[in-house]
Amino acid sequence: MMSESIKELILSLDSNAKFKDGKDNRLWVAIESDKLKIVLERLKDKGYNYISAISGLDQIQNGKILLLYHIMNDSPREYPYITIRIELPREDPKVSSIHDILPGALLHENEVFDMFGVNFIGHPNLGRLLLPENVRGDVHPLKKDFKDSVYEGMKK
Amino acid sequence: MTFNLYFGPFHPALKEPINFTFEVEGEQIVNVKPALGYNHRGLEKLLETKTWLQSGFVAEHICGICSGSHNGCCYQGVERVFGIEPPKRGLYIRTLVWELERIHSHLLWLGVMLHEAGFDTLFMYTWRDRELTLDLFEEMSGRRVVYSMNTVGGVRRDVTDSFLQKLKKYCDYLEERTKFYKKLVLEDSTILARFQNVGVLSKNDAISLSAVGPVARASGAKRDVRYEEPYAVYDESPYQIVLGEEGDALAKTIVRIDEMKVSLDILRWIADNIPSGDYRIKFSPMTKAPENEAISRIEAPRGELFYYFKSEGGTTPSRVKVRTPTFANVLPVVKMLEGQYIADIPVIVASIDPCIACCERITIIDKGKEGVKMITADQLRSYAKKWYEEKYKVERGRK
Amino acid sequence: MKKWGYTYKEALKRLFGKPYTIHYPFTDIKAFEGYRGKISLNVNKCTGCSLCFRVCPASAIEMVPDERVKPAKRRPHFKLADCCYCALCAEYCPTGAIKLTTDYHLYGFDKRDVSAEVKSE
Ligand code: SF4
Ligand code: SF4
Repeated sequence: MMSESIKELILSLDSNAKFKDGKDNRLWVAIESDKLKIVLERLKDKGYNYISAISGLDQIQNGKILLLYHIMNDSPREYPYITIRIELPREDPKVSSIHDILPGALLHENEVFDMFGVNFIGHPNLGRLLLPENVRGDVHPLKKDFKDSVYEGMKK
Repeated sequence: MTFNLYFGPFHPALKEPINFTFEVEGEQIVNVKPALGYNHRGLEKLLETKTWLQSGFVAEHICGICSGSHNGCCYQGVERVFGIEPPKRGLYIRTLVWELERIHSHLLWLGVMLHEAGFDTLFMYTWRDRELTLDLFEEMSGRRVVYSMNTVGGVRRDVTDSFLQKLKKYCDYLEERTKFYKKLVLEDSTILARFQNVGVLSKNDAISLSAVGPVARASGAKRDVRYEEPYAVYDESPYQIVLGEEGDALAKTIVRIDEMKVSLDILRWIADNIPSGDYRIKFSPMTKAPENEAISRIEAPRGELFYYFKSEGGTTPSRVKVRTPTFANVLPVVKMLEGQYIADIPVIVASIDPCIACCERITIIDKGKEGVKMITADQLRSYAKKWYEEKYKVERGRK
Repeated sequence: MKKWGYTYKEALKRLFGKPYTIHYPFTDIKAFEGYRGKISLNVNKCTGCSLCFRVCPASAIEMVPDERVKPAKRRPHFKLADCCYCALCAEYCPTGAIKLTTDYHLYGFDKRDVSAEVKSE
């Protein structure tokens, strides 16, 4: 019942959404990046007010950076956990910040910027978090084409 | 006039490398800028070079206190990638490790917390009791801190019956001790004066800032992976969620002491009900994974631990994401510190059980320059304004 | 009044009791059976298959030619300073040549003390 309504809700916002039912009651959804904010807002009204993490994924073979928003519901439902997946171009990735909907996402967005160079539009302080502040330019270590002499030596 | 007070990265009241810049107005804090990044080691990138079997041993070095949780959570994720189900006895032993680790971590934390409040006698007491836990770990796994108990598809060592008897005796002893600690914390006037109404996190803030673990539970938010998504054998065990109400440092202390009691119950239940049989399945070190992705979450002593694995069909993962509990608790601690007194800083920071080594695989660094505003600057500023207004209202009222 | 009585009782008990700590260099704690301490290699059992080298998560093993036997075989050389004592090498060694002893005194005044080749048994 409830699951249908959540799938329908997402479909009504983004007709191209793709679903995958994972194990452990997790729903994987792939949506357009410009629909992210409205989908999250509607889901928050349904009780999905907790963000576990945002993880980036560099797919160098098809020139995409994927962002996965792992959100969670307070009260037990059919789908307590949802992972929303958006695709961004590898060159100049941009997406709007969601910190006004889920304030807990602030640091995760900072981290993704640091590691993947994704620009979060509307983020109050998008700067280096993990790396020292004197690291300038396009240095994003979790991208697959990141080169570092120490790291290269470690690969067997 | 505000005044900047720099606290850390190496400060005697805080044994972990984290730096806070407090803007203070008299004795009161009006603005907090956390600056982490003194302990970053790039473990997520390193994990991409390790095979599936090796990944857990790298993961358990993320944190020295919750090494068993990292190790177990990592392998639970790897098992989900491969679609392996470990045997029942293995899962029981895994749960035993996790719960024993929770007790050891909470005892350590209790000692540190009381030490921050200036109560060093109890610090010695709790750490002496913790030593017994470490002895159990040494006997069970062969090492005191980095247990390496888990592996893909089970655990690496079996537990003997004599060990389980010892475990039960230990549980009885510790039950008495936890009662003693709870009585002490609730009765001692020094502790009450230092902990009550200090560093309050409201339930709404705990939920909206995505606080995890005992920090969230002390505010009354039901955030416990064991409760939400019972993994391993928690759905059969006598687990009960422990909730606080006030959200201050005292509530956090009581929640953790009560949680130790729940852990002791689970340990006794494991000692009585552990099934016989295999405790692991064979796993060859160079196995190729199917193309898959998996999420693994467990309740570490500090809160929800989150692992995401992406496999592209090789002997190594193509991406591992680790979200540690302390990282999620940085925003709540900033919230808690607002409007508190300088003297309470150590207690408040300690009350989230910060494990910076954990947190700093992913980190925040503040630019520390004028004009560059740190994360919650807007909220903080509006908060500060409100604080001033209220303060002046009170003063005007006096006149 | 009750509290003071408790304090004196505790103080007297601790005054005449044994200390909880030990005098470490003079008295020693015996590690439990199965402790994962210093690595020992039985050279006679090792076949040089380098499986230990491949499973080691800390890259603490190097395969070096052993000149003592003819024809020279490749043997693991443990850099103990890099080792994380996970015992994976001992677990996956097909002949059981590697053992982790209960010796936890892993200190030395020279860096080479903890990175030298492990002697045969
Ligand atoms: S795995 Fe065992 S037999 Fe093979 S090289 Fe290593 S020590 Fe020798
Ligand atoms: S114990 Fe572990 S880290 Fe040490 S040499 Fe063996 S496999 Fe490598």
